[in-house]
Amino acid sequence: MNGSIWGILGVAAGSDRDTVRRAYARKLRVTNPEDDPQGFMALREAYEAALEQLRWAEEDANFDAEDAENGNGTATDRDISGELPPGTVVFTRDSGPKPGDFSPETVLSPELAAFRSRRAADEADLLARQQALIAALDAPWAPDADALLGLFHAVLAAPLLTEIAVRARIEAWLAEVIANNIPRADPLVRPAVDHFGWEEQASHGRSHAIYAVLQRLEEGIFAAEAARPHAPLHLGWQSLTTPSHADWRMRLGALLPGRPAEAAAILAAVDNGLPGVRDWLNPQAELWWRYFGSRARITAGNLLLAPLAFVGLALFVIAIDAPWIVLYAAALVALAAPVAAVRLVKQPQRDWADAPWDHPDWHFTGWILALAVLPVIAFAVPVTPIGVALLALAALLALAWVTIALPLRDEIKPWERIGGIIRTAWPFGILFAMGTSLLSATNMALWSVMTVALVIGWWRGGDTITDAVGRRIRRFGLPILVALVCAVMVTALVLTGEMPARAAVLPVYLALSPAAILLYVANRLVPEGRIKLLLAVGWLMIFLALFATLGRAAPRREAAPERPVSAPSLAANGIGDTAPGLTPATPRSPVDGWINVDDYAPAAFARPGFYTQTLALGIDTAGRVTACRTLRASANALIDGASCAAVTSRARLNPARGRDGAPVASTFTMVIVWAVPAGVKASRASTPSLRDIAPPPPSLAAPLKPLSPITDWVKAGDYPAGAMADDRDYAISFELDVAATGRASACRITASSGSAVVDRTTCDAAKRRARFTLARNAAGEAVAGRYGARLAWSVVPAPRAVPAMPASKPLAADRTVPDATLSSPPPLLPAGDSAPKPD
Amino acid sequence: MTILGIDLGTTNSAAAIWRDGAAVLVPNRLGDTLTPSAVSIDDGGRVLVGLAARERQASHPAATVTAFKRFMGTQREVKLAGQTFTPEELSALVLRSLKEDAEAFLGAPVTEAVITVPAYFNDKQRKATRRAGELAGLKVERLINEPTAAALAYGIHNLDAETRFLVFDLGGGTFDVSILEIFDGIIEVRSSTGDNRLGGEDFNEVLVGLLRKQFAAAWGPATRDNDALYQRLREAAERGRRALTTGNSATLSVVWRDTPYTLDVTTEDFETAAADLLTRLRDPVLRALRDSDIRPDSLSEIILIGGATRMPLVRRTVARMFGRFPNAQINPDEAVALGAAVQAGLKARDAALKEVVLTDVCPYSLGVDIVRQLPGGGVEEGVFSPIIERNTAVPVSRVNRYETVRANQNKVVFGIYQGEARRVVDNVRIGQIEVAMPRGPAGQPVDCRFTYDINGLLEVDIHIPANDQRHQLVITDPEDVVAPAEIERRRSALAALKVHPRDGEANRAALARAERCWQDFLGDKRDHVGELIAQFQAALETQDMRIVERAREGLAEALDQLEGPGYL
Repeated sequence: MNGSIWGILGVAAGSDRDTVRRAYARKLRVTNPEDDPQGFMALREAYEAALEQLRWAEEDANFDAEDAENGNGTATDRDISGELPPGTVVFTRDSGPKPGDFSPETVLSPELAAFRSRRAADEADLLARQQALIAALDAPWAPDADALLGLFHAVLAAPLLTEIAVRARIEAWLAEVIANNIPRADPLVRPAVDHFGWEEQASHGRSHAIYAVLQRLEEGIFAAEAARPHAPLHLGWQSLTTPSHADWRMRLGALLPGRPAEAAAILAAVDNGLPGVRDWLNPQAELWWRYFGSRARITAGNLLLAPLAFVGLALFVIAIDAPWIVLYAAALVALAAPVAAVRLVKQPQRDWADAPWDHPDWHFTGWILALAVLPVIAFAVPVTPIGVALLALAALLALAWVTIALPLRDEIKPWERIGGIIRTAWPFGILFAMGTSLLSATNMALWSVMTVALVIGWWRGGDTITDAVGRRIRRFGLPILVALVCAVMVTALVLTGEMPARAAVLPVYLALSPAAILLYVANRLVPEGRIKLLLAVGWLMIFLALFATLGRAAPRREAAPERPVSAPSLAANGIGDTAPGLTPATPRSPVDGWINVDDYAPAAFARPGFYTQTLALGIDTAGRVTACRTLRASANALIDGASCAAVTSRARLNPARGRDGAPVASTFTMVIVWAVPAGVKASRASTPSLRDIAPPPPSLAAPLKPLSPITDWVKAGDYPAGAMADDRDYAISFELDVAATGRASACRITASSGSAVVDRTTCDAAKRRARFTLARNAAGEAVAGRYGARLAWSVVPAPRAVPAMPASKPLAADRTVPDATLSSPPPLLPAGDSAPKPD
Repeated sequence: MTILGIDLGTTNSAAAIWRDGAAVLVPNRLGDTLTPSAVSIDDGGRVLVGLAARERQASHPAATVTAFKRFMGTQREVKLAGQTFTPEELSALVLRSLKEDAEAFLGAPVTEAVITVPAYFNDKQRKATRRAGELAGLKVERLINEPTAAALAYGIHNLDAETRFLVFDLGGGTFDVSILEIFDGIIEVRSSTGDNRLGGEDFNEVLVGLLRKQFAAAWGPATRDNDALYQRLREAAERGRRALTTGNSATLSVVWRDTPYTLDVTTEDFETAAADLLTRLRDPVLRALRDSDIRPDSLSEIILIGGATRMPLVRRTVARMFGRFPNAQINPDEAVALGAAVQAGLKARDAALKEVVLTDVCPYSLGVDIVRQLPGGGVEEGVFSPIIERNTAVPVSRVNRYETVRANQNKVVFGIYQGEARRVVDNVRIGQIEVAMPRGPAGQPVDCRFTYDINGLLEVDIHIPANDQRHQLVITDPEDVVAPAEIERRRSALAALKVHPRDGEANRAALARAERCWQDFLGDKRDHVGELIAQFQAALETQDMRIVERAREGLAEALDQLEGPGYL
């Protein structure tokens, strides 16, 4: 390389400046830029490279010389005295033009005399300002930023600085002073760079000191950027700048997604190119993170922490009394998730070793975990208004988080951000809409949580996944995706036989695909800029339309009852014996799960009516049933005979425990109530459906529906003491007039329970508490109506072991709907499975 | 074939030729070397160019335009008496007038020219200037930077010594600083910077501002946008500024709605009011010095060119900057045109200039916009990455290597910019090239080569090493690509404009001046001017050349007595 440079110029390598210049001038005559641009370019390049080499060689020599003589006193001290460090300062004051240098005729002018005297004063003034700045920087105490800036600007404001040569000298001097006083001179870095325009200066003209100051500026910008909340490296910055805590707290903090990676990125920056950033870091925290980063990322401790978290989750699920299946699922996930996560990541990681750019971020694991865990929570949370509201709140918070945490850039435009969110979230929107349209209310909560989990996971999964999916989508084109969704939905409708009823959505689907294609083409054609937002809005509209039709296309849940209403229904409950010092036995699984309709001969349900049977169970220390005796028989021998066998084989209880906590044998009283509605066929194999027995009245699009179970209308506490004195069933039929407000306006007894007090109390309570979703006629208008219901109280004798407590087995009601406005009344409905206990 | 050297200035233009080993200025039809860059349309719809047009500035503001060089390279259009002109077309009219003068002077047709532009003119402005030349029927052989031209004019006589000098060119509308070095017969431009929106007109604006401030109450806010008043004020300011060049104070006087307003301005007042402008003079000087890597004390000369450097104010500022007095031997108005003629001689390979080689620089940085990866992961978009740094000797070819930011990035878009700001939004966008990338990890290299030739044409060459693909782009702005047919159409449209014959030009200029004076004066003086005009018109009626000439001289003398000598 060097050889060619000198060769082109035709001089010996390392020749001095003058030789090089003369050689260049000589060659230039031959290779004139007008005639031989290529030759000129080569010559010029060689010439500049040679000059640059000479310059650096000179500077290096000066630097060495300075180092050698720089035993005592700093360079800045000498600067002031007018003696400059050789090499670094190009312009020297002494060599500047002096008034005396002017030609004789100009010396005589009075203007010049004034000029000279003013200049001398200005020179003294400038020196004083320089000394003040140096004094502030050398002071033993930490310099005050404002005071320092003031002194800095005072130097810049010196009148002598109008002189170019002086200004150049001061510029070099200031660069030297700032570079030598980092970090004390930090407040001056930015103002100095801005004032002298060092950033815009051609790089070949910069001195060592200016390089150092620019480097410091870069470090300062890095630190300021990382210290900004929500900035890309802020988490890592926080953990590196705050004093370190106990090891376990640090390690817990390291579990936060992104924190170790960000800390590592900052440390990498410190090691490669920005060493001065260390001035901002906490030394202990830096040490800790370096140690942490030097070890394998997933440690045994981390792996253990994950199952621990899941155990906590399982405990939570138990505490809220979830079904046993959920407990098992949670436990399984708790055990499997970390293993699966490690497997899922380790294997692809080996594959990715060949093509590292297709490698998702480590946050990818977070996505998998969220996917596995959140559905479990969704199952576990009871479907109550509060539960759903909590889920919705969680979903909103998560979305807000995703929105806020989207990578922030200074120059990001708002519409870009909105566009980014739309681009990121739309696949989940489709998922969400498909899910909610096809699933019941319970699973809707699940879906919403899952969707949010996916959004979060997607985002945390980093850009790689989005890019990968985006690439595929770009390849196929969004319109094909839209068409695909439409096709899937149409197919689903055809398969479920809903198509004829939902024919109206077909044209929407047909129209959406061309619209998507149009938008796609437009997207390709329009240039970048604000108009892209319009297109994003267009896409949003298409997807909204898609969602809306998805909702309408789905089978209506309220139209299709979830179970055949006329099957025999069961209510069962039980209570363990209580005795002083004895903890009663409790069922491990719901009591009504111990028996089912298949335990009985079909003929047992031949006749409609209520069959109440009370059993006394003997429980051993293991919680198993050892003996079963009928305390009170129902009027149905087929039922009475079969119950004991079923209960004995299935019932599992937590045994009663004595004072010492040891399990003891005990008894358990259990009540079984079968409600057999009219019209049940003997054969359960062909349980009749609602439609067969009584097709819904065609004039009503939606029937009158109670908002709460009928059994919630009355409570045991409503009845005066002694209202139900006899050990018998109190069955009451009544009818409510439902006003347009959805409340009952009147109540009539249609079949008495045999007790006037019970009748009246029941009617009053029902009238007070009943709320309805109003019936709608074909035109969609709400209509008032009448609602018939039947409730039955069943009073059982107090169990032997607890004579003090007049426990009674509640029985739910059934109800009829003899609405006079309907052409044919809906059939009997089975009752709920819980009922109040009278005092 | 002679190549004409033209200094197309903001206020005045001039032409020169290289003849018999020397640069010679071409006198115009009035016998002056300077032709005001002014265009006016008279009542008959005929075009006036030069002094006659400028004299009409104050009296016919709606039909006259000056200082249109400031709008070169923009889309701004000027409406003159119902006709619309682009700045290029107006420049073309001035160039055509100069061409005719040269043809008359040489007695031979002139079809080629070297035109000077401010060094800090950007790509668009240069292209507009080139088109103006084409519209005037001149093949533009070369655009040369004004300070370079001035330096050529100076340096051609000082070739033997090794010298370094600074050219401080403060023209009517632009400000340029160039530093040159001469050694071994080589004239090397070391650096060239400037401010293409700073010039003598801005100093006039300062005086206009003073007047407006003084008489704000009398004139009211409605006159803020009144063009007629503005032109009067500018005329008064120009006279005042010239008076301040020679004296310590000047009286600015303006007649508005038949009321005289006068304001006395001292040198100190002017200096205080113009302090901002004087500060703006310093930055380009600093930049030029820094880029040239030449110490200010090693400069052998400070050469002032451009009419505005006649102001003592500016000379004082320069003296203060360098701690010495600048060279005053060079005629600041003529140097540039003479230099252009030298360049024309170089171009024509004149024997006297055989040993002279001139190397010029690209005065601004050229580069692309990049996404800068901050250490540790963040990115900063829209950062300017210069490929050819400013003040690099041209022709030049430079290559920079860039890398993709994302894995599997499918394209790279290079926005091509010119300027010095760190962020591209503050620079001038001159084009864009988009290249497809093969799949691969982040950090795939892309080589971007900029080749800038001696005529200021930029060629961008992208090379992707991964698949060895090459993409080329010659920067042409869509709005710059004007079809030859379109140029021809516009040229013939300009040619069709009615122009006064060359002969009567001096009389029209004198008459225009007299009419302006009539407006400027009141009472007896106005009557007197009226009489003078009547006399002159009577003389014109005679159609006797000698009588007319004598009458014109008499008129000029009388007007000189009334308002001071006329100026260019």
